[in-house]
Amino acid sequence: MKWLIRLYPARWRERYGGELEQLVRDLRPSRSTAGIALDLVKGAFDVHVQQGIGLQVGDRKAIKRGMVIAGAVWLGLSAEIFVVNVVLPSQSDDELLSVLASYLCIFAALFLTGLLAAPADASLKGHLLAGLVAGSMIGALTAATFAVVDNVWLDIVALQQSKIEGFAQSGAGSMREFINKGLVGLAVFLTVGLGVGGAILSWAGGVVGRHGRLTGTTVASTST
Amino acid sequence: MEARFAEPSVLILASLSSGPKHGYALIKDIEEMAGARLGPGTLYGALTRLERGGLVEALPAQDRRRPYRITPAGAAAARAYLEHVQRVAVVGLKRLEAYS
Repeated sequence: MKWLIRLYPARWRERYGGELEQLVRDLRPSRSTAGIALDLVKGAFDVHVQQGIGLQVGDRKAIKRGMVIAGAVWLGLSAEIFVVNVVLPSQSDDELLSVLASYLCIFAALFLTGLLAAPADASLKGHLLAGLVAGSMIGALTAATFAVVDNVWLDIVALQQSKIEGFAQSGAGSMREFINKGLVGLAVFLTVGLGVGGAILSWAGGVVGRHGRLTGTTVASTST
Repeated sequence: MEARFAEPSVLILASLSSGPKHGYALIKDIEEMAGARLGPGTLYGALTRLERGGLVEALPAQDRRRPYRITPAGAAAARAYLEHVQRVAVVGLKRLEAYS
């Protein structure tokens, strides 16, 4: 059980760790080990949330900025998804350029998240978390947009050649079932993939941002 | 439907109203008083919040068991909350009587 207490923040453990360990020892004869373990995990999460997951002010600022950027990117992507799939639907599969452009915009936004985190004096953890949150947000929200567009305008979306061919080979009972099954995979792929990619790109943006600040400071100090 | 009795913080404050207690004594007293079985993580999560808010204070540890005591601010907060719950309970029960 001792290792579960390690899930609590270090500073918290210094103050309460000994008492909690003793309490667990006192409770062990009358409670199930699984129940105590589950409650310790829940408690550790609660304490981390109370302490803001050990984030400094700069880290929180970076995460908030990342969320604003992610929201803006999602709005743009949603508009593009709506236009390409509903307003000006194309039955051929020549969407490569628009997909490529969308991914480039997302990557640029995630890089920008890290770049903007540098002036906020975010730590490495702050940069990584800001990118992770922004990337996951873009992924999950974009998948939600696809779910809405594909289900509400199914009669238009179902005319796409790729959907017709995919449905024919899938063995699904209906086009809606085929599309929604695909959306689950897409949601996981986008949320996890963009989350991880976001953390890496945000870190890279932070490195460039810090380097730029250092160079700027050096130039300013040599010119004065 | 099983009703959730009250949040852990209120149960802790109510228990400490009868005198200082350490973690294990608190859990046992709350179990007896309200029938709620608090886990160690839940208890210490709530205790951390209460101590930070100045509603309870820690006393010197005896072995590794540290007793906690309710503060005047904690007593006032618990009283205000419980009186509010009581008012809601009285009105709610009256309305339920009329309903049945």
